[in-house]
Amino acid sequence: MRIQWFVEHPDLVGVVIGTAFGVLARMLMLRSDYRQYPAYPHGRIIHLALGMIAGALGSVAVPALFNKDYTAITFLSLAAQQFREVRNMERTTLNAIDHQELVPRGATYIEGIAVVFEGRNYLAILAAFLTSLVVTLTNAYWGVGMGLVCIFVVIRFMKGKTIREIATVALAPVRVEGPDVYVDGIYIMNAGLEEDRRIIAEEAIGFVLTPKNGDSRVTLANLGQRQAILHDVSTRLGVYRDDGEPALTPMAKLELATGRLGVLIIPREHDPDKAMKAMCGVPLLESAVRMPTQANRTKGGVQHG
Amino acid sequence: MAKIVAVFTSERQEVAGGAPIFIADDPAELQRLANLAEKILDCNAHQLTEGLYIIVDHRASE
Repeated sequence: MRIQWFVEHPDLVGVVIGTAFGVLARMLMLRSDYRQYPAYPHGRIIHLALGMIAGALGSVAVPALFNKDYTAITFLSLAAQQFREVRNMERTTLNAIDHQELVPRGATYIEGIAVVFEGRNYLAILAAFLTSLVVTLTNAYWGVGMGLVCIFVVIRFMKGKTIREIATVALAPVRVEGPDVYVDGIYIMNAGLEEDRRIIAEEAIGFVLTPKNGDSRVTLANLGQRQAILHDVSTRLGVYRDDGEPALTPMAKLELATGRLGVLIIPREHDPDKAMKAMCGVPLLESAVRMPTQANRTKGGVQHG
Repeated sequence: MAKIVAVFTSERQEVAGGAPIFIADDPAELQRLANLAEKILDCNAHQLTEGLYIIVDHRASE
């Protein structure tokens, strides 16, 4: 009798399965950004709730279209509006928090995170829409199959690039010469106080990031990308500093002649292996990526948009 | 642009200008004063020569 009920209500089955996969997709994507988002239970609830709305909107669109209710598609534009708000919300929150960080994320990183939050809601809509579509066209079994494919694609899609893909990362010796601090010959800063010099000489870990090609050289030079590197490594290893200790702020400087980036980190946990792992895992920011080689290859007039 | 907020020196004739100038007699005293200034002002202390420190506010440009 129950199976009969499901057969009689194919739309509802499509919507339920579609929504479920939409929410599942959002949930999986939310788990991955533990470093991007503070693990507040309430922050998670906000995004799960929005993910549910996204899933429901995506899956409801299919039966609406099948019933020739074309105006229902306008709801999707409402959803787009809603998720742009999510992006604004994330940006505002992270900007507000950023002033209180010992090593700030920086505007580029925040913008990147905000965009990701918006984009992932659309992915949830897409997963729900496709699942619901297949359920409506065939049956629930194929629908579940489609949902699983969507989840797989979403997981595949969400893995962004990391620093390791554009640069070779190597540990480098930190040298303190009088007031001047160098990482493998790259001048980093002038530390005036004896106390700071001692701490830097004892605690600091140096890295040199060598860009793999011309494009990555420009990307590494981006100030936002550099700040993201400093923030991420500091988050994972801790910082050996406090308010009122500006000399102990981690820093990254370019060697102009070669494009190599010298990074000075003063971590709470002095473990070069962990530092190496943290450095290699730093995400590549979408808004920092530059491709001058492609830009120069374009034939004819410059096209915008 | 960063801003020089104070100058600490042991060589009075070497410095002049708009920022407050503090004179100390020996290098140890100079270090102590620069250290205090860094903590109080939350600005970096930079050593230019043996007897000359400047306290710089790097956030002044933000």
